[in-house]
Amino acid sequence: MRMTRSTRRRMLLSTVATLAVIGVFVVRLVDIQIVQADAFNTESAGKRSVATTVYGQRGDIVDANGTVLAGSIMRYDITASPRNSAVSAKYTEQERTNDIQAVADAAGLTPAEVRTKLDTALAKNPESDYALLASKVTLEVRDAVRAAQKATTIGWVYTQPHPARSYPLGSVAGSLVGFMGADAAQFGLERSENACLAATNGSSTYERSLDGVQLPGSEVVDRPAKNGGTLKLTIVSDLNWFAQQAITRSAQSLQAKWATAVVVRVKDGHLMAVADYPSVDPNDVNASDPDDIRSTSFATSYEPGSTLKAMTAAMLIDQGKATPYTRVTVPGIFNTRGGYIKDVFAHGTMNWTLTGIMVNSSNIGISELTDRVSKQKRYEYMLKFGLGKKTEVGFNGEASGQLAPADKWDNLTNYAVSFGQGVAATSAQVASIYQTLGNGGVRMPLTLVEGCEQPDGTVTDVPTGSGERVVSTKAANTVVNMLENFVTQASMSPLVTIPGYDLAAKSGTAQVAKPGGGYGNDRVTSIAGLVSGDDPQYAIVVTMGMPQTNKASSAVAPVWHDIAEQVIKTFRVKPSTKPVPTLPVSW
Amino acid sequence: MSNLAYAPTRPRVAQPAPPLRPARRVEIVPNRALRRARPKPLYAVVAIGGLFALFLGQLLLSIGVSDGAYQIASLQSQKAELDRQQQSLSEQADVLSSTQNLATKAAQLGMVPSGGTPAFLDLADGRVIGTSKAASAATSGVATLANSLLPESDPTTDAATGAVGDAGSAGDTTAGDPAAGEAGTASGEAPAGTASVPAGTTGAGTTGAGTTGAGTTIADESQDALGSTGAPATPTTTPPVLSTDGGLPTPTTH
Repeated sequence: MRMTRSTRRRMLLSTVATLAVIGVFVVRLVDIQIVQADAFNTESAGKRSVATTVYGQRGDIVDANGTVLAGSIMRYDITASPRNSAVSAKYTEQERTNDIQAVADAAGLTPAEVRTKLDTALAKNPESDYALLASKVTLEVRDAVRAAQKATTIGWVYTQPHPARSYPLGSVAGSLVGFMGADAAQFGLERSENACLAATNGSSTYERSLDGVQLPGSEVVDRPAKNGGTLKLTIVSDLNWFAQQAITRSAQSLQAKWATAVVVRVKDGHLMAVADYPSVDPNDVNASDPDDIRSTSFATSYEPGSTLKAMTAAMLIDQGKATPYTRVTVPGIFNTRGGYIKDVFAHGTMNWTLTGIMVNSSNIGISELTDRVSKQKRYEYMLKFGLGKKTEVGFNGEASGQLAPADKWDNLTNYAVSFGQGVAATSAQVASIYQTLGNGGVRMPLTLVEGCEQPDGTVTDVPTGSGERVVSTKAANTVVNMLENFVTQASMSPLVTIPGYDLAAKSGTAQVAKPGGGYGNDRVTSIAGLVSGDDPQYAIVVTMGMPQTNKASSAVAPVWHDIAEQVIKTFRVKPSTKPVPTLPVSW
Repeated sequence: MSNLAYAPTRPRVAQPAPPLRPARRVEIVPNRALRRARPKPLYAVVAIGGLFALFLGQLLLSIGVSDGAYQIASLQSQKAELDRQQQSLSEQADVLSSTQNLATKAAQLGMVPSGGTPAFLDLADGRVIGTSKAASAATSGVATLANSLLPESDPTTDAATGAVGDAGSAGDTTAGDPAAGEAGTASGEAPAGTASVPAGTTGAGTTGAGTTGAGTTIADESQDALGSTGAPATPTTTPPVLSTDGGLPTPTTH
């Protein structure tokens, strides 16, 4: 067919027109898909995608048997959007009042409170989108608010999760566990072990459709959450409960200002129980006096008194300067040329052996012997026994006690330190001394934390540190032997004896120095000992701080006895197989 | 093709119309070769049908996936709901298994702690090691250690640290008592009014006798009793070790 010119022109024009239109589309396509693609993608994702916080869970604090002492729980905040609650054409005043009533009923508030909160927020900022109605409510309250909101389609109340902390055992080990403040840990192990316990929140982004349903296949976890590790303690919570109960009752009847009981496992220095009075309930911190928020066993240092005579005896025997049979003529008064030393009961000149000095707890007697070892050497022993510095536990607010260097000891202090005056220590330090004596003279680092178990199962933060020999095995065992004789022969023997067990113990009645100098009428009474003497497994130290009704150390004996009995029950300590070898008290 | 526009025109001469012949359909009779070469309708049907099937399939899949997304969202919210309930219940379980609660409940049931030290049975030779004595009511006692998570109207819970009254911490804007909220669902029994007081309740300063009445009365009494013990404890200041002058009195420690 032949084409005429006009036909060809028409064809050309239509082709060119078509190509031009296609070209415009192609350019537009390239522009959208390639040039501005990123900008459009971001903008659309922003409109579609939702970033949510993935909460990590703070780690639990558990005792040696896994009992939870501090756990993470979920609480909820009730919030409101004040601007959505404002009265408008679509939302009448009556409806608003009804809704406020419903929300208040569900949340346990009064309608006036809710109204005030909304109105204050609106007054400050009419576009305000957030007001906190109630914080940290339980699941039941949250569900009630949700139900109320659904029932009458309230458009301005929301709930959101608020992670919180729960302490199921209350004040049992409360002074150890500590507590959280609004955002951070404030005291105790919660604070000092925060690195182990803290969780990191993650975030995840997903794309949602118009009705809020996640578009399939669209979740992108930007950052995974990391849960905190579980902090495993060495203490046994049931024993802690018993010990706390025993010292609480005793302190209340003796009207003591404070009291402690510390139980240490002799072979590794692990703390089995740390009981403090006054105690702290981490669930209800405001009920406690701020001065009481401490762990007395670690934070309060005092002159321990005669319980340290066992340490002095160990030094003497270790240096070969004395034996349990060493004969001493003990006068009724001792002139140190810096002050006088008397015994708790007046006596004439007595012929006591070193054992007798321990059984009768004679200050004069031990002072007579103490000069057989030089000041410097005794000071070094005391350092090795752990006095004058914090224990390895490093508890939040722990005191290091006070031990002056030997060249600073005046004449009186030189002798006073041999019976535990003129030196200050905490109950934990005294327990550590008895742990050393029970462990054949090897001091193990005092341990409260077994380790931190991470969510993936690995255990970190296991305390390292090996034992250190302080006195010879023979010296330690000999001293324990003398302490067994205290239990069998001292005047308070019936109060501490447990049939079938060779217990070792020493009493202490320490004077308390007055702030201006000199000693007052107050005493710190204590009993420190071992279960049991022939095979020491646990060291137990019970201390009453400034009792009023009975200032004798025999008043502490029944508490020590009960706690020792409970230790035997808890750990199934078998009765002793050999009788106590009797040592002579006098000559 | 000839362009009729340029065809010379000739005057039309009427000519007699050619005789009409009956119209006959003319068909080309295909031979085998031609028949084989013809495209079969089946292919067309398959092709177009397949195309439709693909579109339909994609549509159905897309519907199914979106429906699945809704199911997932619904199941996830169910799971979240169940998670919340599980957390709440295990929290209540932890509180109920606290030592204070167990001791209190045991005392209310009339149980007493075992007396003395345990005896051991040596399985190797059947020996009994040690002696144990029977428990007596005198060794029983009730919990005195505060736990504000436990129902506070329980008269045997210690009021020494002020657990009576609102256990909520300061700054908490909810008037709802969390402890009561939990206890209400957990412990089931009405507090104070129906709790039976154990026989051997001594010590702890609580007046555990007879009529329980209002839980707050008992608690108030014990709080008064303990309130008289004086000021809260102040920690000991570290005592001075060195004597600044020679006037240090003689220590008479034991």
